[in-house]
Amino acid sequence: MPITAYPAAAFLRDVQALLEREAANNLMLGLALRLAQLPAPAENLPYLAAVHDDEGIAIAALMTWPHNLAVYSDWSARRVAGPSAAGPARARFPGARRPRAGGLRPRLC
Amino acid sequence: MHVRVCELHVAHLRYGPGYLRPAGAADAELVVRWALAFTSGCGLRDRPEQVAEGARRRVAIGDIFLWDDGRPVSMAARTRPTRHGISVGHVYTPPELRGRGYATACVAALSQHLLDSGYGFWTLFTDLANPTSNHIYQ
Repeated sequence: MPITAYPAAAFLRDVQALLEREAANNLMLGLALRLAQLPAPAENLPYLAAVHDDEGIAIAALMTWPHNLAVYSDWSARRVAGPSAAGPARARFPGARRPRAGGLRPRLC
Repeated sequence: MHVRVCELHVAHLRYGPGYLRPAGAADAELVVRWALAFTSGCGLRDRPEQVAEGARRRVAIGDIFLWDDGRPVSMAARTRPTRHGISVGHVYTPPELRGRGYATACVAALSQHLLDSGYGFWTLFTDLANPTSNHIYQ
């Protein structure tokens, strides 16, 4: 599955549909929107990327140093090994996220 | 760190003494100190000079809000607007002023301000290991 690295505006154009759950994906969407308006300094370039499969964009990822790589996919809808997939090569991905069953539960403040 | 993202559509209007106001230029160095303490307390790896520069920039563009009870006692920031929502972050109260409801009041008032400004919801991240911050947003 090819990985494409993007500038922020193109990242938003291509992955916005995947990140349609705006509240759950506020971190990645908000950072990408900010980067599209206010590019990061050259010495601190962010990493925005997407993994493509036959169905389109399978995984979106964004990293602003020194923070963790944020990774999002609707794992349940795709044949993609998620961050909690069992197996001997199970890896830990700081910042990896996926929808929970039932989605976000609105809470009162 | 394990975090929870909360999506909120209403603010609970139960404020203690004080009022919310945007941080001004005169507050900038206080905000820098609090931002450094917040970053350190959260175990974030941002460089101090980057934190300080970011804090001053956020004050200049009006993104930092203070709860003022005769003096600034707590802060919160609006950040990362999206199409329909916005996030609240950098919620910090100095240790000697904690336990008085200042952060709760600051976040509640800021969230109401954001909802009144037209955002449909607001979000924030909490450290699941921090019972105080999780309690505020229940």
